[in-house]
Amino acid sequence: MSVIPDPQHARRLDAVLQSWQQGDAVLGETVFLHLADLRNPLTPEAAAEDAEDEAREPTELAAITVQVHGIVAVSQTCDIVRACAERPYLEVAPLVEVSEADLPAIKAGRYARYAGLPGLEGQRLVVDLDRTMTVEKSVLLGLKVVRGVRNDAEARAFAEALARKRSRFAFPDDLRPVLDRFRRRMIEKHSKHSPEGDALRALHEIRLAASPSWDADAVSLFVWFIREPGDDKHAWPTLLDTWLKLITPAGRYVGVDGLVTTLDDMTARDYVTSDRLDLDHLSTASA
Amino acid sequence: MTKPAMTAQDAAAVRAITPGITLPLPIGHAPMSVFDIDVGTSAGGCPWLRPDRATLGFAYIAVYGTNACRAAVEAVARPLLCYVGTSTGAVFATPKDGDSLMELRRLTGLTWEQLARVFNVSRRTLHFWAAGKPQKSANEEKLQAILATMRQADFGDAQQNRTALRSLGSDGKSPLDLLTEGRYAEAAAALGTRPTIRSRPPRVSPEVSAQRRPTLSPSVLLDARQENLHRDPGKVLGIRRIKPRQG
Repeated sequence: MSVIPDPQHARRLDAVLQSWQQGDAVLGETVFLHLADLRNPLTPEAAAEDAEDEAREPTELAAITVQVHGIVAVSQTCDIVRACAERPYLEVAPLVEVSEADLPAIKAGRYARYAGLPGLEGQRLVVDLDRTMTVEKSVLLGLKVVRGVRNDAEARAFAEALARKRSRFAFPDDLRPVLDRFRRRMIEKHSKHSPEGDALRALHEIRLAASPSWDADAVSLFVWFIREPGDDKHAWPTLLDTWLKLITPAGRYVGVDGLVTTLDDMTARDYVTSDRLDLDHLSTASA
Repeated sequence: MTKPAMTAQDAAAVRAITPGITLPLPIGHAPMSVFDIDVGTSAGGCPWLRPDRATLGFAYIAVYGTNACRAAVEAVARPLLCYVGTSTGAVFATPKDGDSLMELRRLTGLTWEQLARVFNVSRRTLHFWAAGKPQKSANEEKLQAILATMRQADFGDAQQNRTALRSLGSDGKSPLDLLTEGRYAEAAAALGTRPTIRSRPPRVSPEVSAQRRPTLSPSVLLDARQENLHRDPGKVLGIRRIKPRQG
């Protein structure tokens, strides 16, 4: 019985993958697979004519193979470079083409589903994080790799996009109307050249905590506005008052309070018991 | 109140200082005093501190002397000041009340509600103080006195500090009660004094600190979208049924 993997092949593959990292891409016509139930197709691919023929068969599960513009390694770099005998798999996501008009919003991080890759700029290709595929590392051997992220900052931003896709907190639906006026104000003022707009752009993060818990019958909200240490050029107390007044307690939400502060002044407990305010929505719904 | 006038050199030094070092301010020192530190004339190489003029909201200390005296200056200045410069002509700034309040919260582990009771104000008022809203001088003095007491009594652990603060004495009063009533000396005696045991990790460079900031702005995250932007479903290359093995 032969040894799997073949030691010579494994050494060669491991050597090649030493230079790979998360965000590396393979461009060109590439195959991408997903499973579908042909009797209840949800995508145009699963509803294709060929699929209809296949669906007449007694089994309904099918592997749909489509052609994409490329694939991107989304596994962590340490898992990519680890010996293939121990870690034979790699996760990849497909590259999809978007319009020139949509690119800036994707680069800004407005879509959790998509991630831009600075190394692919000018090609209108972005990573579709809704889909991932597991491949054996050998699949990558011999393919020409394009570096999607070129420095630590870009690598960190891509990793943050991956993490955000999977780990952003799902705030309760009934929180949306409570935050609606606040959200609209933040969006409206952010790009304005005004004291409030300047202050909003100076904020690093907004975090939200619920007391005693998000699923309680009566919830008190606490908003953390995190600014740069030493930034005393903005009228923070006035702005805090203005912003908190835009959050209207209703239903289970019985109160709201907040603080403009710095990371130095938050305790680790404050940080881990709050969640970054990340609310995705359909733009048509908010129009 | 207005800030004291700063020279261009002072302003440059302030900008160069890594902010965020919150340091204790001992009892008896007005938190908003401005000091001149003249390293060259200090006896035995120790900096000489001279309260100069009081301001409200901001203060700085100008340092005169050689770089060789820097360590000695910092040794004295660090316990006093919030921001510390590192070279001749550096500027030191005292902690603002917001910083002091946050430090008191970290030290004591008390909730906003509990702290509000100490100052007999609402939680919201405390949040405004923390955001930089000026306090009445009586509250400012109380804050500094309580903070100084807690720095001296610090067990190095907020939970232990909180437990000590709430332990009842023979008279039925806890140190927290005494601090609330302004009986600082009695509270300090009840809490005891400990050597400073808290240490701070080495600070990362400003570049690393900047890299670690969240890359997505708050307004982008509040206006995040869900729409499907790519229109090409992808050419279907093949569809293969998956037959489960029988038996």
